[in-house]
Amino acid sequence: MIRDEHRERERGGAAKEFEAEASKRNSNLFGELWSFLSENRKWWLLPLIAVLVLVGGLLVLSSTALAPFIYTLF
Amino acid sequence: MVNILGISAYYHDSAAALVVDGEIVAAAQEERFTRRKHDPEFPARAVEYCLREGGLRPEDLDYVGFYDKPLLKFDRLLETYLAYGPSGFQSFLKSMPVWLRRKLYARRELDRGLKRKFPKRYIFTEHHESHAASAFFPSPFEEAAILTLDGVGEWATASHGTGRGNRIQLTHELRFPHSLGLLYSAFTYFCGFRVNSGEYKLMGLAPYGEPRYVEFILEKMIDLKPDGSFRMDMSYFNYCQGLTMTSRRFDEAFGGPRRKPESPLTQREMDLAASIQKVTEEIMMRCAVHLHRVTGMKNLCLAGGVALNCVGNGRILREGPFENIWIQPAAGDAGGALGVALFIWHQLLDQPRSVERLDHQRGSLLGPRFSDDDIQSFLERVGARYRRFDKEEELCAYVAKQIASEKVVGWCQGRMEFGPRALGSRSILGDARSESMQRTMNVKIKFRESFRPFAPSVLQERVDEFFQVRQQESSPYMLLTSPVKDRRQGPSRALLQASQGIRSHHRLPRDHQHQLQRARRADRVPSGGGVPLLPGDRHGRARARGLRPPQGGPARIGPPQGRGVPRPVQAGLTMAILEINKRPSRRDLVVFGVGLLAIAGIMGAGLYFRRGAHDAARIVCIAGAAITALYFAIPPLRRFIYLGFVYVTFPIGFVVSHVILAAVFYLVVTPIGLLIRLFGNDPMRRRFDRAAASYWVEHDPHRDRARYFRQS
Repeated sequence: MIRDEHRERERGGAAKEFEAEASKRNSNLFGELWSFLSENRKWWLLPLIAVLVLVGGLLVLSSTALAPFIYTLF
Repeated sequence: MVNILGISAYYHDSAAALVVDGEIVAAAQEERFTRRKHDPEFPARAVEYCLREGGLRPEDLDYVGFYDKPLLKFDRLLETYLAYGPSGFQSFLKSMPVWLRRKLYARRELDRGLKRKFPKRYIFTEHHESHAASAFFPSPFEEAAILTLDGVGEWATASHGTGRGNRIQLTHELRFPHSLGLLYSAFTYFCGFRVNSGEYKLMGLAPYGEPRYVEFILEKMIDLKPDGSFRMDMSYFNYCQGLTMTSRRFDEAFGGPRRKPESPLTQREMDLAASIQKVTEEIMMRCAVHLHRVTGMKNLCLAGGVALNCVGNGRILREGPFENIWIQPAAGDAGGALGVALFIWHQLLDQPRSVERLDHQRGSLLGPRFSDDDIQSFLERVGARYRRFDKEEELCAYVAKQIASEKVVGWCQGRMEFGPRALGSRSILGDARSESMQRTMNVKIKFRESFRPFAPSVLQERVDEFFQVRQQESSPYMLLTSPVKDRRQGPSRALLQASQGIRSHHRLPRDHQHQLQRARRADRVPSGGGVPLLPGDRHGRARARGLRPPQGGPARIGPPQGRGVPRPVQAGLTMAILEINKRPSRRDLVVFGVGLLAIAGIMGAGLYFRRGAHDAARIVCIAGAAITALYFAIPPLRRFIYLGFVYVTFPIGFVVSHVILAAVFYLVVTPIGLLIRLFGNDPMRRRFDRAAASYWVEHDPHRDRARYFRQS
């Protein structure tokens, strides 16, 4: 009985802790990419990801109404 | 009350599932609403349905989970290009636009999908964790071994572990590119069927062939260990670096190029289907035996696309070491939506799990339903000829009579199934005794190859008259096959054999009342004693107006007005590098107008200050201002001016974007890849290690819950 109550308390604690974490702000993509590279020590991906992020920015801009001006800037 | 929404999207079979206080309230696949087979887009309609079923709005949700980790997938993609460069440019060109514009921004896409009304953090589980959760948490077992077999998730292509109480733990995995799902898909492709949907066809074709390539596959193409782990000789395959599944070496090994889609099937394709089916079963069996040995458990839970291979599942049940197995009915990626929602509830929120004698899947009848009035008003609207039966007895008697006279019946009742199998809610029914029924249903009703099998339903108490099954064995979700007994009367032997030993759908209990009713209807078919067996299939390609099942919400019941019944189309998520927006919004047009003025100003300033061309600068500025004034003064002109600019500049953008991506691939990806290989690093682990006892690698356990808020 006591063990059950203890388990229930633990459960409640875990749920609250997780709920508190869930209410925080989302981390941004670049921060996550950096964490991923540093934790996994995959530094060889850094230049590739940096270039792809730039290209991605261009591609995103080229899907907006400003696309015709971006093409001409090339 | 805790409301959890699970979502799978952006690859194939996107879906949504709603879990409220641990109970599965609703789950549906997007394709059932959009009629795009395997629809990969954000499951907006499925989400809308799930919320409606739960009486919720997006802001009422407590947690939203996504079924995989996009950054880990992106990592796998980049490592693959590094491992194969300079090969692989075509694949790079095709995959990067959609990654750089959408898939990398999973949170933004989810925000858009939920209309920016979910204010909290999204949760990301690993692909195989989602599969494992979908297999174990709804199962009827307190503890079980878990096996997931799939094409590929992030890096894992298969994994195994255990589930106990309210927790699962994956301990080992096989890693890309060595994948049972992709191996099967490669043969599917070579036999002329579509990858990710034609695998069913290949399985259906297998009983017609001889498995004469098994030895070759096991000796040359893969190195299979006794524990079911394996590596593939990637020189036979092209899916890592190309746009095809198989390589030229594969063609040479099997006597020529692949069968062209829709061309006649030959004995070669049938033999290939039989061979890869046998190899698949062998791998599944070895995995099951290994898992039983390491866990010592008597129950097994299965999920992942390969777990839809009901022939392999049947063999594990009959010949394998486990006493019981339970397979997630939505074993493919759609089931990941349910898996992530249940994972959040049990594993991350640490909520207890109760075990039910049957399972928690509720017969997998988790989709939308239509009331009699909805259906009647729809039939009125489209001017259909119909008859209303107020007593179910009368309806069943009528349907039984129609079936007995070899008519094919479209049947829609109750909630729609979650998962690819028709379990009696949206089914096409026929007479099991008719020799011609298989062909009739395939060719005339479903417009498909005549060899395709059907799944019969049979009353539990009479199942052993037709099939060789263990006592008390049931198969409620059409995920197991059983050998057919030799009978001289009753159902068509040809039909049963074509069903390759049978997907038996025989179950009884109270929770699955309407499945029982379906089987009972079969029992009424007059046949001098009654054959309680009913072949059926889903309404997959039923195009005739009367056969289309009502899908979506009541408001959308029936085909779109004025456009007839849309033919279901196969979906795939790809994106052109540049796309022309032919329908600009009002905001787009305003932004463009302001941009027009700004560009004229910038160009004028450049000419004035850098080149000293004062007159030219004035002309540019005045012309720019005039065009902009005209643009804003005459609204109907805006769209034409905008589209004019877009069409004129599009070719420049098209060429330049291709040049940029080519430069990235050949000047960045290829040199880095070559350097990595020079140092002997091969993340693909392509070499066979004949001396190794196993290719399973340990799965990195995530002990930190905060990690589930990250995409990596």
